Amino acid sequence: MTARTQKLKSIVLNRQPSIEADRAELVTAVYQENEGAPTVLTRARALERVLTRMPLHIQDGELLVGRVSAHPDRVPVYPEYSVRWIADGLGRGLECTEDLDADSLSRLEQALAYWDGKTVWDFGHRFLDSEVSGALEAGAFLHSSGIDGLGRIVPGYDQVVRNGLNHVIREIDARLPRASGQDATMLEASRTAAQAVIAWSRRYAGLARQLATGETDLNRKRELEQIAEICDNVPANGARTFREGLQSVLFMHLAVQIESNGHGIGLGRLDQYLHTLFERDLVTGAIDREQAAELLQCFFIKLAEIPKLRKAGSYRMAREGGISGTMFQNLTIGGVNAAGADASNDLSRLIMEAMGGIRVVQPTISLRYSPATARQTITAAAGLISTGIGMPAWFNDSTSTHMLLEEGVPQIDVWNYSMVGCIYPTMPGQSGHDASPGVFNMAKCLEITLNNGVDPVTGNRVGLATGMANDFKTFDELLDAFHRQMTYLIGLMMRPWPGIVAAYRDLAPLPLLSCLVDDCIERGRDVCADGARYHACRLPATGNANVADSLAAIRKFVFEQRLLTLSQVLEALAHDFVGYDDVEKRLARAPKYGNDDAYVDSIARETATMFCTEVRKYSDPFGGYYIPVLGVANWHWAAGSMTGALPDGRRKGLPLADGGVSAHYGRDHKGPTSLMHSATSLDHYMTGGTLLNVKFDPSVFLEAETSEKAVSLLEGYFALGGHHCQCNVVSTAELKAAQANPQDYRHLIVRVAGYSAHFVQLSKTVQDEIIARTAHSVR
Amino acid sequence: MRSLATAVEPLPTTLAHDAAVQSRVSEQEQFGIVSDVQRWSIHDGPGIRTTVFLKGCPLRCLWCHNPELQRMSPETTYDPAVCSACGACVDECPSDATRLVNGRIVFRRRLCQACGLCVDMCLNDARSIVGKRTSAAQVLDEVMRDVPFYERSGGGLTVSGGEPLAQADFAETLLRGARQRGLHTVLDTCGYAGTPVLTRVAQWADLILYDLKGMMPEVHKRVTGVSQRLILHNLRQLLDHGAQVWIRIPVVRDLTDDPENFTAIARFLATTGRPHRIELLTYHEHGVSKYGLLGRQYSIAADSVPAGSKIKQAKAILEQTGVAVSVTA
Repeated sequence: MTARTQKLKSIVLNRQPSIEADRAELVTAVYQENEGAPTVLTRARALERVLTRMPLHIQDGELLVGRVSAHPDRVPVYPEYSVRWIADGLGRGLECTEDLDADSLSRLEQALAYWDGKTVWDFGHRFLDSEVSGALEAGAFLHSSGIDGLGRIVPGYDQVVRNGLNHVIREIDARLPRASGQDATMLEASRTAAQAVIAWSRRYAGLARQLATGETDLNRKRELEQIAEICDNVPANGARTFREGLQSVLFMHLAVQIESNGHGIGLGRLDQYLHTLFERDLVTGAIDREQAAELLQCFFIKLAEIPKLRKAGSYRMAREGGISGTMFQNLTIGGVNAAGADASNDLSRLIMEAMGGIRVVQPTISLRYSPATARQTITAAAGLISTGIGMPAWFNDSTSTHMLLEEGVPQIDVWNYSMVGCIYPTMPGQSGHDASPGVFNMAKCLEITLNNGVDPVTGNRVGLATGMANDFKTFDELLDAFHRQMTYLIGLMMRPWPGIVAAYRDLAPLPLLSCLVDDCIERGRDVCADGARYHACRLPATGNANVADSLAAIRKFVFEQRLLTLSQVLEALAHDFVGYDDVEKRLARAPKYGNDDAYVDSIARETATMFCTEVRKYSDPFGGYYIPVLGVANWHWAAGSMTGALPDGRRKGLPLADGGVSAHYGRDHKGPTSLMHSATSLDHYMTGGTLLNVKFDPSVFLEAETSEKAVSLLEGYFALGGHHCQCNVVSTAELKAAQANPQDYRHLIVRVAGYSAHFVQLSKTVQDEIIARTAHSVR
Repeated sequence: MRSLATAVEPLPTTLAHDAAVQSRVSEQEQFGIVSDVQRWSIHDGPGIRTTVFLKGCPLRCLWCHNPELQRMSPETTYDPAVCSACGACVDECPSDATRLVNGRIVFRRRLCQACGLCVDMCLNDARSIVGKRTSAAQVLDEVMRDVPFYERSGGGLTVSGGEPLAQADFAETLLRGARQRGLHTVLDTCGYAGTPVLTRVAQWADLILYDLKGMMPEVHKRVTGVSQRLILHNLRQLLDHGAQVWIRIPVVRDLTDDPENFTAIARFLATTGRPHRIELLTYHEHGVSKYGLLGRQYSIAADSVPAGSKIKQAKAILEQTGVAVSVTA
């Protein structure tokens, strides 16, 4: 970390975010002026208005410029998606509104007033009938139904770095004569949007020049002049240097997030598309390795700076989960080239070194591992893991590739995949948004099954009457009831989704993003309207480990050993085990998933397969199939908070098992190889991504010899067919000390799920869950 | 179609060898007393390993951190600290070893047959059985689960204890079975066994972790219960025959940390073949609590961690042999 990046990092870490009125006001004005115009044109004009009018700011010391708002601690508002919760919460409990000044407040109130009834959420919400709402309230599934923009997409930044936005504009111009009607309108809109971004970058050039004039420090003056030169050239034209490449990516990445607030916008394979520029600059001596590292750190800080206002109810525990500062911006390194040979390079390693030096929670670095990956890249990755920040996450090329082939990506393209969100392989610049209907709560599904369709927490009937628990004569009858319940609840979950996706398509097209995704321009169709070459609508589940553990306990003690009856179990659950210690302890002694025990792992496989098969029966709104996922970011807390006590011995309200194929925290005690066998007893190929958390005691990484063994462990997992693994390297003692003395541990970063976060910003429930995860040590 | 004539032809030599192997007790029929099959074992030899702990040891080292592995037969551990004296174990016990007296559990170990019925009944995890009669085939099946991890790390099977040579036939079957399945094999031994027994088992091990407690006769006898003569003799045999050996020396304050002890070891090693590595294992207290669970007394000072300067000194002395010396806590 240099003095410059240290200072810039501390500004981001210490900011007090507060919402601002600028974006909402500018967008609203454009909508008011354009009533009756095609929506896509209005959207482009709104983006243009924001980019040409928003106040700009260059922080002292910055080498890369641009941000989604005027200032690091200003959070923009996106009224197109939803407003009611913002309007209701202004100055009344909504995060980032505590210190709102009177002027901003009144400007915001005025702007938001226009939107009530016109947003994506208002439109989508009509599709939530009483059955769907009931199940949603009970927590059988969770979704945001249009609260914010669609996300989890990797725009084709590589094209802009290489050829510049002007090239995109030329393509649009070439396509326009063949277009008519809606297609022509869409192309016009995209051109307006692309031109607006160029205008925005030129405004930054102007600002830099103006600042340079008044600058007395000669070094800084020179830096500002360079910034001006760079912003004159990119993203309009192809980047000429590594630094221009980073600035070009940054402008596009920010502009896409000014257009929409969908998160999980990935950066793709940065080490591939910037490598030529990087190498050339090193060879010509334009920059050295240290300067390149500093630029990367500046880039990371800009990504860590991007804020998002979140609704507490929709993203339950978002704040406590440390998600407030997390935009799930995946940066992928490693992997293979078109010939199948190792693609990792010196830039891949420098990216990891730079992150190890600056230690910010964004971007999320993902390493594509293949047996061809160079040892020095793997050693660098082990080095970054040992810092404890939970990066990189490791992904198995072979499993990811298989998943994408299954999703319909042709063999010839698949080598170039990139990670997006937490754990999804996707095609950069070619796959559309992940229009996900939310997260399915398998544990709640079991709870509802055990109570004949009634949710015991709310007392409401939300599922099918699949039979009273006492009437089940065999374990298979229970399993069958669970299956029918799941079929029904997944159906409910899917029911409103086509309507909600249509709301995105009709009300919130994205003309700028459409410039960066094949084949939107060619087809003349927006990315929200099936313009993308490939689709990937995913449906993740949480709680499979809890369901497996619960069913194993019931099978063993109720149906086999007959030490308990199902009514005894249900009675204990209804009382959250208070006064039922013996039942609780008995259930806790059943075989637990995560220990390579076929008794329970076979059940886990069966329930996971059940879920995957059900989900695959549904077509997504674009004609593809829904892709089941075994992995969730932080939803296991949200889902857990709504789920009562379970027959696996978990108490009411506590988080469900973390990750997706991880064991329930603290229940895996036979070492990580056993955990990995359990995890791969599930069929990863049926999914579009799985998530495995492994926590190591730092002792494992103290010596090179054991650290190499940890790497072999991950490689062994991949040989078994595992898809993803991410590691925490932190001692239980340190986590407990941080919980007790947060002021001394503000630096401590941990891996939560598909992202890292500052430990002391997490709520106590979440901290406790992470502490309870088994720490694998040297033995 | 095979003719009758071919069927009665003499067996080719390789098959004859296989037949000889089969004439031994088979892996399914060879049983041993196993306390644990510990996977992700990363400090007992190279790579990621699975360590199989066999019960029974002829030594009684005062600092022993696995006292539950000293006796050969299965044992019941009992932890009064977590026992709620509910009495569930009392009804189950077929040997009358457990009674509820005045609201307290009285456990008479001498009557206990380690059948494990009480363990199943105890909801407080106050009891466990150490040592289970297990076939070599069963153990090897579990060991083979982690082949993908051994392959990438150069790991494999470690047979440890207790003292594995106390169950020499079983240890041999495990190591031979692993070798035949292509695994890297390690024998972790204290070397106190008849030389023919040691060499018979050791032939199946790619690496031998050899414990050496000391060179001074009176001290050795006092702290381990046996003389070091046989141990040194066996070590010399292995080293002189070029076996791959890592020597492991426990360093315990006042018992084995005398610099003279290390000087004597270095002198001894100057007269033998070279070991590949020397590991100094510094004393830790992890084993202390186990004594209580077994109803036994821990007889040395709880704080027997050697001084850092002593470790450094020992390392320096041993490094004069030219062998790499590592220190493990």
